[in-house]
Amino acid sequence: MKQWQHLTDQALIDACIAGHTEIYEVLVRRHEQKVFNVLYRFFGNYEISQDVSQEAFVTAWQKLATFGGRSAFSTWLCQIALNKARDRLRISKGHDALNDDLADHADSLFALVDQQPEHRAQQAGARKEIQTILDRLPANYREVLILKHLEEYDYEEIATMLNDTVGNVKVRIFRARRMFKMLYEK
Amino acid sequence: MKNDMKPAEQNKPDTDAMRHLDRAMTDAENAAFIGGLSEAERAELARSQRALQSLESLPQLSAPPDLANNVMAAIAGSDPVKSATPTARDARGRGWGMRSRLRAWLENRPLLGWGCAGAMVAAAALVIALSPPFFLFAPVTPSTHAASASANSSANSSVNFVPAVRLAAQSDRHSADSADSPHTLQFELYAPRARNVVLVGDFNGWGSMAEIKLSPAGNGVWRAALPLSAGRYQYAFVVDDERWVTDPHAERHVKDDFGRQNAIVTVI
Repeated sequence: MKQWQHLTDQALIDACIAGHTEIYEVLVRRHEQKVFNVLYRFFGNYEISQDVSQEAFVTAWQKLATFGGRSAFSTWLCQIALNKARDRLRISKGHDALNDDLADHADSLFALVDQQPEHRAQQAGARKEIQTILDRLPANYREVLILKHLEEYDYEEIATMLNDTVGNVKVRIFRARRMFKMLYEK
Repeated sequence: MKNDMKPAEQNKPDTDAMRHLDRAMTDAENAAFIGGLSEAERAELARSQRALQSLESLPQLSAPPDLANNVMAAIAGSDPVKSATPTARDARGRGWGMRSRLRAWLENRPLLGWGCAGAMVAAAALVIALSPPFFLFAPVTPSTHAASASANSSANSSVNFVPAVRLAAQSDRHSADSADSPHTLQFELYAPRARNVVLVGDFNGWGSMAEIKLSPAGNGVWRAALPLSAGRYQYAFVVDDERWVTDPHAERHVKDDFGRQNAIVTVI
């Protein structure tokens, strides 16, 4: 796979469409962290986030020929992932039962975080509180906060992902910030 | 940031405050904005920033170690182009013609369809080889494929284009006297949303020697005819001056120095 890793997303997509299925793995590995993070912060549940990430990548593969390149591939992927997430949420009829404990997956979850164990323990509680606040937000507020403040997408990209206007996205983020602050200060 | 706003106004974003929280202001704009706030508004803003900073302190997590493997196992043996093939109902809804439906049907039955076409090409080559001298110089079809993806994209309005090339030798032989005499090849690309399509290949220095533009031929198809002498050529399409599109049904593909897939055609 190494020989493909320097290629752009578009070149990799073209190669996949040309019949090189195995090259899709490069795209998956390139974007799996972003997709998984968006979903984990959305659900607060490791297993469900893993399942939905997998579904999102499989759906993206099935629709690869329809990717028009009008947005970044990662934006398109996140759009698919969030659609899947909303579907899953509808099926589960609420997300209270979805939340799990970060500590259950501490080894893999924090593999990228360069911290000493004692700092982890100290901050784990605070992080769990923040995640709990996120979980308490309505899904349409939670997703915009994740995209804006954790994944650092701009308003145009978020509007593309959510199939909405930039103006509506701004209003939604404004209200989501206000609600997040209110819960944070409680 | 006004505290005496009406309830309806409180649901509308304060543009300056939004820009400040987005870190979209210059230092001068920040200073002017904060300078214009009351003490209470400043404290309110600071609390908002603290809350958002706590949100942003959440770490980036690593993806599950087996995610990529699971995805690859799930898609094994599937084809993204064929996966996007519209259903018969979609096709009817979009006015597919009998030819397109026949084409799709044949593509799903390679042994009956293009496999059969390949056998016919091989048989034709055998006939030519065994025929009197007049036929010895007849052009041989280098590679004949159907534009499978044309059907795919026509069923989805969000599609910019899908690479789908039909490359067929025409019987437009300029001279029967020489093996080097050019045959006219017809290049086609289905790209309904393209603004322009250009053919590049080693026959035109990858666009540096001559520009070969495809012309719209209707129904989203772009077409260009090109005389080529016997030889083996690499080619690709460039759509809207930026997208490099290969032919998924070419006889072979080769990766170029930039990692792009080029199609190959052999003219005999």
